[in-house]
Amino acid sequence: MSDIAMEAGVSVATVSKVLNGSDRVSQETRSRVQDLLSERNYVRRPAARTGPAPIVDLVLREVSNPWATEIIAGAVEAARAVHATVAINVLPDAHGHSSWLDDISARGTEGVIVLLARLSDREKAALRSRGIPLAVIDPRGEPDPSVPTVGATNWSGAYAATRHLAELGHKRIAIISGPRDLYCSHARMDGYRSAMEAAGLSVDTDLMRWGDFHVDAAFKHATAMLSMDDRPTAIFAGSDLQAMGVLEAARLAHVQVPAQLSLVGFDDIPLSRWMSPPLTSVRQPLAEMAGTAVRLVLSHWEGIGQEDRSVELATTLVVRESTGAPPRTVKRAS
Amino acid sequence: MSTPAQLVRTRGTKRVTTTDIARAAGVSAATVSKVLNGRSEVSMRTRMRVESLLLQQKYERRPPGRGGPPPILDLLLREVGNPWGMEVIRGALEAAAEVGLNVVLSVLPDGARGCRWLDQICARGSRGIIVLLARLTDTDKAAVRARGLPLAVIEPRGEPDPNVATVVATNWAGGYAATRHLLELGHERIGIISGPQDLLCSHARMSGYCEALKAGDLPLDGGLVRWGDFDVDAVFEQAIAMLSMADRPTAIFAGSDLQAMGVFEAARLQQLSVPAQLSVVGFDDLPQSRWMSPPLTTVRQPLAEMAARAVRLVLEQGHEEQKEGRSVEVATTLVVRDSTGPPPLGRRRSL
Repeated sequence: MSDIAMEAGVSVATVSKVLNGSDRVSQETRSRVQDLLSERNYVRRPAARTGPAPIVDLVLREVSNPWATEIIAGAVEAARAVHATVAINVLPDAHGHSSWLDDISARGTEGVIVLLARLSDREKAALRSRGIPLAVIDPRGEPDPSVPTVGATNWSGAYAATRHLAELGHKRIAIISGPRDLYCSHARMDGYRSAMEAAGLSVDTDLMRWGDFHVDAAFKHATAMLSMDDRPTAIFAGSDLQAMGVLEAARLAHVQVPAQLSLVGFDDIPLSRWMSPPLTSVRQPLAEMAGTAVRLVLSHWEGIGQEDRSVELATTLVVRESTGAPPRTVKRAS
Repeated sequence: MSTPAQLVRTRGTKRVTTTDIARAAGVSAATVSKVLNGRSEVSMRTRMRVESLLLQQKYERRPPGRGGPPPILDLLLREVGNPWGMEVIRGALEAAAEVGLNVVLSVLPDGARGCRWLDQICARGSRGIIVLLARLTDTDKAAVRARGLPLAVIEPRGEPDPNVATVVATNWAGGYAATRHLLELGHERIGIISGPQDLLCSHARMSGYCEALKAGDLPLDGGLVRWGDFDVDAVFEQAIAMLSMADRPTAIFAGSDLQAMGVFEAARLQQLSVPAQLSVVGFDDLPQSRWMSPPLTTVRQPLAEMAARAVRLVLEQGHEEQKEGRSVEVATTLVVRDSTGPPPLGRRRSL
């Protein structure tokens, strides 16, 4: 950089301003410096602290999942606020070998944020040895004590959803939780059970189902439950996508939401506001989680302390129009 | 033989170097590197020999060193977070990953000033820029060109620019097919809420709609023709307004699947059931559309494929002599599901 500065007859700081896209350089100087930079094939040292638009790498397995959408949006927004950008890395399935780690360290990165994927110990060690900060966003898994993790409060979210339904007067409340092998599905199932107990309601194992976070399984569970003689008057779906499946099952069974069936989702993805009726849902602050993760990995050059780096962000119940009082005509189990 | 050598990635532990390849081919390492970089001053025969050796020996390209831009492709978006854009992002990621490139996302909101985004991209280097719905001024485009960065635009805003490579869907045909489908079901009062007015694709769909009406001998009713917005709320209000008309439409063609959700909600509030009293057609065919209640009839546009085409357009520009303003149109198809049906009795088309 000092070579370029000398040749251009300006200070190193000015060259750096041009490199950083700062506008406090006259047009003339800027173009002179830029010409020299390209003539001399100037290559920025990777991940230089003073460099332009640092890159934060987001690593995930699947892009077309509403969670990923929100996380990516949140990460890009948070990065923009500190003039950084976000690169997206999609990992190959399962244990497929991938050179992503070498690739990003070769071109320079400010940090790695992993969404819903577990890194191997080798990968974690490699990141540490190269001094690349790491944060994990996992709204569903068990926190990994070795890595700063941003999660959400699954138990309280499920508790709030179930209590909301109980307070409306529902007694036959069903839950379609997430996959049985996920930590968060159990946390939600437990939150549901605790709220039922607190409301003095008995739980019926027929009304407790494990889904897979996608639409189809929830559609099948809901269809089965809605054809029971003693069908539920409310369903707590473990995700908004599952709620879409329940809504379609209700339409086909000629069960009106919310008049005959109340429905609560989980996530509060943007689409839920535009479901018909607009969905009551437990909001996971996905965008904020991503923003927190971006700040966590960038804190090493922002000079912020590194203590207390695992975060659980609170979920909140957003009440819209898919929940109401139970119908009077449906007979209830006592 | 035309497989670009840089595509080759292996699981091998020991890296085969250009020197190894050069020795085996009996040429200099510089020649191998020329082949790798797609340079033209290598004879066809040498190139073929080197390329087949690269393949055979499972050569893995080193991370680009000095001189070349980093393996990054920039995607410049108006906003992140709408499901439509996510499909495009997904397609771009997949296509970029195939050639060993990362995609960096940057947001350029409407009304943003200056070229800071471009300076930032240039400062670190990039293989090219793909623009999705972000509004580029002529100055922006000139600046990109001056810096020798390949550029491709997906669904351009404003006037078409013959100097810029573009990828669009066959929007006119999509608008025509959607409208004809409704006509064939017997609808006479067909409303349209097209996309934002400064998007070329909104106009193309609108004229497809007009043309189909004309072909069906139906007059164009100004009250049934509306322009939407990027925002679902605006569309929702347009739909409410249309559905409160004395002579309300029996079918609405919406500018996107998301907008169709706004129309569904307007119908629910007006106590009109879909499709018995109101047929709705969307545009896009997002993964969620088949799970709307009822499942949405929509015009499918292959968003991921459009993104992949844009990636290819950008990379081609990096290699050969720039083909000015190449543009690609990808086909749309009507996907009929449950949100469309014949109009209610008494409002059928008299034949």
